Amino acid sequence: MVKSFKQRLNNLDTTFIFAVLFTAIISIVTTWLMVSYLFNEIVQGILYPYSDYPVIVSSTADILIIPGFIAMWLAVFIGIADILLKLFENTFYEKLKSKLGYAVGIVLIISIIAFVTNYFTWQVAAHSNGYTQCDSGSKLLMGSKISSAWSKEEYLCNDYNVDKLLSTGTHDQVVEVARYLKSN
Amino acid sequence: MPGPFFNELPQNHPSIKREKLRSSLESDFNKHQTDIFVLTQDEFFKLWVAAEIARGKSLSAIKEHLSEITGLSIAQVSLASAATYGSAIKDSTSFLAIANDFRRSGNLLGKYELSVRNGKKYISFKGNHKLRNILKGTRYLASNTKVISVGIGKEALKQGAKSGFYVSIFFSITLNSINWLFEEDYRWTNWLATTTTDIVKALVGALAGIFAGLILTSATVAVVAIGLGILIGVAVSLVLNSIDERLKITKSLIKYLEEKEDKLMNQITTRIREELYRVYIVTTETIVKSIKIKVKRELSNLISELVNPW
Repeated sequence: MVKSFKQRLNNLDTTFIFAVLFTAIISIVTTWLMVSYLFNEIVQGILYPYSDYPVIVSSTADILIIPGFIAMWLAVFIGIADILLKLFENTFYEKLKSKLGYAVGIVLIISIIAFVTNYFTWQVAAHSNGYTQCDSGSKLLMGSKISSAWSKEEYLCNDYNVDKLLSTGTHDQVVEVARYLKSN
Repeated sequence: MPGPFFNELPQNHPSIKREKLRSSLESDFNKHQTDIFVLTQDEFFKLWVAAEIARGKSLSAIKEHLSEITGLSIAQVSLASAATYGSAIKDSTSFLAIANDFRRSGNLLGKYELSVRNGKKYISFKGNHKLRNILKGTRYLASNTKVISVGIGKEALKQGAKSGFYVSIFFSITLNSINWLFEEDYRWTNWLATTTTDIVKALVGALAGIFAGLILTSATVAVVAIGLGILIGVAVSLVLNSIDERLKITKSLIKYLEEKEDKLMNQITTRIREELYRVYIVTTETIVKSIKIKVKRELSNLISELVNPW
């Protein structure tokens, strides 16, 4: 029995449409954040161990934002392809969906590899470049669950002024700390 | 000189025999390959209809067959297939009749199990692998049943995200409490502000994970959909965390709570001071008054003694 367009439109799952809309909104907001500062922040975070900053911040999980961001957009495209497939019953959308399905699988594998690799290489590189992790009792980034401060000089981990400048651990703050220590 | 296979018949040549063995193994493997299906009553009926169509039966022949095995009239069966599939098998007897017919046709292997979850009837069974192709070819079943057959549906995703949310909250509260206990500068204001923002981050992350997972189940296998659902949930929480770090939301909340605390403490101190002052004034006044009275009384006694010594 061939269904009319109106019937197919009525048969669309509202939860699914809402899910696509929600994911699309989150993806757009994340894209805007990525362009404005987030991508730079993540890249700087990966490159910290090779830098000359006296105090650096480790948030190795941040690398997951990039594959997560790609996966979000892929999910949006899959959702749109699924809705279009249900509406127009065109095999092109089915093929597109299956191709995107493969792509998300690849993204998942890449994200796992990237995360594990970054986690280990970051620490090895930081140690070999003279950085040591500030211990849990130190002042810097106190209370943070995913970020930790690393320093070339141990005393900096308990420096009151450094703590004031490095309040949350963004890249701007890392640069500011370096500038402050250079001027003194 | 005759070749090594001179006395062998062409069909017994090793290369042909190997090919025969391979195809025989393949067919044996396919014959014995089974899948586990978990379907709702409605989906099961649709699968039965799809299997009948795959066997080359016409719609009218299917209706007749359905009428035969369920004992329902053709009119009832027609109505069922035209409006909502599955309404014909709302009663358990018809449902069981169809299940038995499915078993006779070799699609349902071994025992099947009927269960009721959230008011919905489900049937789970080991099925012939050919059913997989039927599922793929049937639009409705492909978008619903295939997912359920590997153990993940909307509900499973929701449950996963819910437990993920609870785990994040549990860890957040535990870690914040440890910080409160052991860090000198970590106060109740830090605990309250950090826990509050952590709950918001975990909630938005879990929602993003559920919705993205829900979309992905329509295009990829369950394991990948779950994995990416988790990845997206984590990524969204990390993005929110970076926004928090950049805009210093938690820090501002801590500052706000501390200001409120200071204000409240000041108010309390001022009040206490005022009350103390009032008590001081009243006490002083009372003491002065009683001294005055005492002095007055003593003086009048003295005067009276002086005036009248006898």
